[in-house]
Amino acid sequence: MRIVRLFAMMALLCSGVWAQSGAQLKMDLDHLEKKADEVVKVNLEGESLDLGQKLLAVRDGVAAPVKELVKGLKGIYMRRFWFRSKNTYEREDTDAIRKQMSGPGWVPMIDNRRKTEGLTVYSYMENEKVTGVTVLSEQEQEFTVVNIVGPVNLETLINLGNQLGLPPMKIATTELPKKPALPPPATKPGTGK
Amino acid sequence: MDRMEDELRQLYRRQTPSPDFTARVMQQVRAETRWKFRPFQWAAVGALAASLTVAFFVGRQQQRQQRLQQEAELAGTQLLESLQVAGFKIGQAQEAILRPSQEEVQP
Repeated sequence: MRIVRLFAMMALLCSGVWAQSGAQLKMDLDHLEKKADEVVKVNLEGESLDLGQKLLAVRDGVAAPVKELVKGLKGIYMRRFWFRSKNTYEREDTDAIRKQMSGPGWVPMIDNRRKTEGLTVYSYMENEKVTGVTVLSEQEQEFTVVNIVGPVNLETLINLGNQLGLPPMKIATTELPKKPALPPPATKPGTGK
Repeated sequence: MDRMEDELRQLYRRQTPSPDFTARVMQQVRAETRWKFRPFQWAAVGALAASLTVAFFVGRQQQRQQRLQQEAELAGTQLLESLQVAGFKIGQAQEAILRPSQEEVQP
């Protein structure tokens, strides 16, 4: 009977671990790191994530929805690579990441692709709930992957990205070329507008 | 008067000190100058030792707190920055999808 209980407990523990790590990607990008001129790596999980969560929970100036978003996270992993010259890396260099998201649970939400650039957002679904998000941004001189494990409110995430601006992360260099503004809509004569 | 003079003379007469005189004087001097701990001195030493111990542990605790604070600051910054990057990129993708392409705008 004890052995059965032990196996049941082990199975329960293992299922928990698998469920948690389902949305977590293996950031196997060492080959890309060798090619890159600048690299930013973030691995936050366990105690370090807990410390960050606790700090942001009590910090003034952090909006309540952001605190809520941060509170539920189980891990966040980011890799950013900058390249001095264009086309330093191939699409095959990032295939290891893309392949992981072809597995069960991952759903492509946004896929915006133009010639050599692409921006893809995948969500990880469990019991019809988003329990993970991965953002993959490929540009001629930059490659970024952000893997968020845990329930994610996309609206809060987008607002956070818009509000804070990211000066230390050189976000200006990651902007896609902007298209010319649309011409103003034609006004009917006599309307006075 | 003569008797008194005799007594004084007797008293102040030159005498040769015994051979162990110097040794005995030195021994006496050493005995008087030797440090003797009295109870209140023991108490003072004990209090000093206790204070040093407390100061050591308080210092160590403060260092630990400081290190934890620094780690929390770093983790918090990294957490926010990573979320910012993800949010910014998703916003960009959303904007790019909602924005009509150049081909659609131009006739």
